[in-house]
Amino acid sequence: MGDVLSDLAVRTDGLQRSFGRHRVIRGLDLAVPRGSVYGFLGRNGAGKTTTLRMLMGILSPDAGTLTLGDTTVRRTTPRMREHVGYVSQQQHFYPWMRVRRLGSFVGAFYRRWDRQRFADLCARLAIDPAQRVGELSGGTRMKLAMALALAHRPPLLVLDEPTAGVDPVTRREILDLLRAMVDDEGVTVLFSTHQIGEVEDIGTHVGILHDGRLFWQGPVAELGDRVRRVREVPEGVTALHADRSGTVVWGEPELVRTLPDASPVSLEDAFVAIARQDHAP
Amino acid sequence: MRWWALVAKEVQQHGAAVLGALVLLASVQVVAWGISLFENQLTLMNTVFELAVFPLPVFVFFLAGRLVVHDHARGTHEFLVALPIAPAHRVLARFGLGLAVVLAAGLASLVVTALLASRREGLPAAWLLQLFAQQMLHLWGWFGVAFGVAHFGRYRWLVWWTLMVAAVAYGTHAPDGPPVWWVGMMAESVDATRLHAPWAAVLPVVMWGAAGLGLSLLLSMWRGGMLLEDWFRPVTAYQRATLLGAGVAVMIGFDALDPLAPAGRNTWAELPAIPAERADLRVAGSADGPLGKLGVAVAAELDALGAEVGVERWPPIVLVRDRRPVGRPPVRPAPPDDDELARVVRVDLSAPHGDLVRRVVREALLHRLGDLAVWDDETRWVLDGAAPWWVEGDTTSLEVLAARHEGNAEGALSDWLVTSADLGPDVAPAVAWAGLVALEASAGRDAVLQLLREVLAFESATPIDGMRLRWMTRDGWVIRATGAPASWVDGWSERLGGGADALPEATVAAEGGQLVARWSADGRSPTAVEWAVLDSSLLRPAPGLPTEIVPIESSRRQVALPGDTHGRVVVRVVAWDATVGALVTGPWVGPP
Repeated sequence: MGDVLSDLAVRTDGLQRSFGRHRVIRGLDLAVPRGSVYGFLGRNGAGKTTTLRMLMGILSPDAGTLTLGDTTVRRTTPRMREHVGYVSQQQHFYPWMRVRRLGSFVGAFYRRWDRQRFADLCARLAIDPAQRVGELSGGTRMKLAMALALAHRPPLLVLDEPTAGVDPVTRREILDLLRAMVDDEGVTVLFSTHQIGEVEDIGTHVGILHDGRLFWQGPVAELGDRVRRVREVPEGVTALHADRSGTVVWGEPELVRTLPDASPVSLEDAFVAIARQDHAP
Repeated sequence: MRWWALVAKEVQQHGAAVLGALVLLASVQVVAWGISLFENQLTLMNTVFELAVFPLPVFVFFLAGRLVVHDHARGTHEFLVALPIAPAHRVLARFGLGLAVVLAAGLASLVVTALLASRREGLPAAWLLQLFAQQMLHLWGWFGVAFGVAHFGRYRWLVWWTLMVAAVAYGTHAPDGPPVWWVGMMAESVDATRLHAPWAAVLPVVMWGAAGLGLSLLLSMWRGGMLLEDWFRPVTAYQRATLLGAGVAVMIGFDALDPLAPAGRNTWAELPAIPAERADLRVAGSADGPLGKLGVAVAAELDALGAEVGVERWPPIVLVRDRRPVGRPPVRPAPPDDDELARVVRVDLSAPHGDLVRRVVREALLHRLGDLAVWDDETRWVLDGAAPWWVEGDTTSLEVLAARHEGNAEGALSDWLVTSADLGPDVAPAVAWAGLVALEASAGRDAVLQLLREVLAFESATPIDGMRLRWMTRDGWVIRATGAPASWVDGWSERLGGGADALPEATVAAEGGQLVARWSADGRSPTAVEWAVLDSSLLRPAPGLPTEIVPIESSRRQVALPGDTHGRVVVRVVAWDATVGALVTGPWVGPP
């Protein structure tokens, strides 16, 4: 991926992708700061996985460009993938391979593969290297995917719902591992999720995907400053969603902070309001 | 490292299944050896072809499909594409591995068969090298195509179907057209290959293999393999119905583009018929073309002969244009098909017209009696000689050919099948013709026609007909049937062995564990050597048994024979005789 030339680890410009007549991504401009833990939020089917697969070069964008580090391309090349650790939503490993064999197979394609690190990660995540992959539970498979994604010391991790379908203990192990990688090695993490709690837990930045476009992206802390619940919608803000307890509005932090009779909104409520809105701003 | 990792993964992933398939393939090869040895076929090397024509392509189809489709079907393709592996690397690793396995299987079949065959037949190194090249190219073409087509995902069956229909359509439209498919290297029999190496098929075979590989690379890299992603998704009911419709459309489309080939054109009864009263002659081609003209001439002869001898309807004969292999007669019956009542006769139109007419009429006469004629000494000589006797024309060459036989007529008459097998397809009819000419000179034309009436009264081969015929044709039946004097046989003998050049004859000797055939330079240039491996109970190939003809250079005076030293190999020389303007065949000889 080359040397650091910008503050962004990942950037997309006008990314578009359709499946048949269905336009999934409609001009996505993503900006993931280097060293950040970027939570990529969106409802099921919002296009999170499609975006991450385009980033990894598994899917080709119909339009737009991708920038990983200082390299801008229309499609991510296999060489660029060497510098990214990727965990997909579902793990399609070869079931007949043993964990150790899978590690050596995957390692053959990374010049910076660290066998010892892979062994250490397996030990840390309690994965038996002698076990067949097909015999692993879903949670252990996810942990194995994490170990495979981290063993070559990538500067960027792209994780597609890494905690989906795992038990709370495994979820905690994965999040702890991520936190350690960020703190100790300065890894940039881009992870998709619809678990708001995870974003609050480890995220530094958040991007909210709605209707194929990025509704908003920025520091997690700033998201709370942009959303309030009010009884009457004042001028200068956008009403996102109304229910019996009021209307969730969206606006610039300076304005939102000064709204009369406004109450703070949790990140989850904010996300739900954004997801339920009729029209994005 | 990367290549090795990919190859090792494929080996581990498919090893057990492929090993199982290879064991099955080896079993088929062993069975083919057994059949070949049991049937005492000319050469064990035919089993290499038998394996290469069907079982090996099935294995190729299985292997290529598995290499390409397996990861998509199991979802592991998703895992692979997320790794830093270029699509081209994935394709090339699979292609290289698959091709290596297929070539190794083909090579093993060739080498082991050659080792086994070398114990019973001679295998020239040049021929083995040719077979090696054929086998390798054949498998290259097959694997390339199978690998390429496998990349079409849900459309691969439709692509196979289209290719198959196109191949059949091409074969129908242009039966003599240049080889354009990937199977040309081993499309002929091993005998034909030995006579004419199919080098004309090299280019299309190489191109098909390369096209398959190129297509695989193109599809895998097109938009980063997006096309394949889509094509390998599970087929919906709608897509399945569409594919089925497309398959039917392909068939209808090729049929609609087939104005020259109406439905059922391959049925002999629907081929263009030659107008005739008693003959049923059809030609595989235009009735106005050269084959049709030959058919008209033959039909006229059969009509006239039928009127004379009381045959109301001759059995159907189908004339097919053919390029004659070196050393073979210009008119040859095709292998009989149990389902067909017609006798298919292959004709090389480059031979003299009169000669062709005689030979085709002879085939019609033989066909009328079927097996009854083939295995009966007393009737076969009449049928062999009838056509040359009936068809008018210059008889000089017949006289010269008849004089090549130095035996006496009584011997020939009593043991005609053996005599005619020794004399070959050119001299034997001439000797038989001489017998009928002698009978005509002794008892008149009506006597010969009466003899023909007696023989041709039988129409088909039934056991009762056979018994009647045997009873009728016991000793002296010619005299009883025609009223000819007993001296007519002397007239026949006078026409034989009249001092003309002898037939080209070889001698066979065992030298250093190998059989060597030699012949003298007597002015005739041998064109080919015909040989056969016989069951120990046979002295010479009976009609219908396979023989092999190997072309030789005119300067050669000896040839090492395939075969062992147990006296089962027989050989004869085929030489061009300028006197009669035809190929003449020497007697069968074996080792002392």
